[in-house]
Amino acid sequence: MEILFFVLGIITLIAALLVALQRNVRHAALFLAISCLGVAGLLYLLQAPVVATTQLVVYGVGIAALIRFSPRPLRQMTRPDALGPAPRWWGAALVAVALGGILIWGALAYPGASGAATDAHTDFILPLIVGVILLPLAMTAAVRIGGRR
Amino acid sequence: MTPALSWYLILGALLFSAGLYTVLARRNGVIALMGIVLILNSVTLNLVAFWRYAESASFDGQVFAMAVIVITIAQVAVGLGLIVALWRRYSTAVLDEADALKE
Repeated sequence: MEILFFVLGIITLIAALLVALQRNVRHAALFLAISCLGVAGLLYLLQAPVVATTQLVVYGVGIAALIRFSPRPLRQMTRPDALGPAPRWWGAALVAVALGGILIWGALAYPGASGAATDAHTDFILPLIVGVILLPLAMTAAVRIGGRR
Repeated sequence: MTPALSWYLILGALLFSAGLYTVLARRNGVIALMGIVLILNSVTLNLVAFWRYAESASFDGQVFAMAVIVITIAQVAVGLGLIVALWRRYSTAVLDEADALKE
């Protein structure tokens, strides 16, 4: 179990880092799909097969379908990108490392935080479900915006 | 032997950092969206890990995680719609060049 966790974790992390560093947008999408599949594997390890399968289908198949059957503008955008990272990439790296460090410190310093986190689930579940119902509206708006010439 | 909760949280933090770097450092809008997906993946992982280790009798944590997945897909759809609109209008997907609101 532990070995599987480390294998999946390393695959997920390396693929995520390659998304950040890859110049070719199609390759970045491929690595994103690999990272998402790694997360799905970790969700299976956490004994949440429904969420894991949703993750697998939505991301794994979704990203592949998006790249394969994408509309023409998106195909043009996903050509190898001449642009590297932004000029001040080191600032972004600094912020990411600092925030990641704070999160890791929090995970190690407050091991009892899980109780508080799960208590919050029951209090906020209704507004969250209302939000999920409203989301198809956002998707409709996206189609409308994307289709406008 | 089952890995401890803190290991999942550390992995989630590292995944979050990678996503944050992608969003902040990359100028291509499509890749920036991929960074947001990475960030929300780390959220999903954390939610399910919290649910699993709290040994809750209900499925609240999984419901939350499913909601995050749906929200992720919706925001990617909205983001891609905006980037396609940007491409059609200005023939670019570079976020730095979408500065019409500054003028």
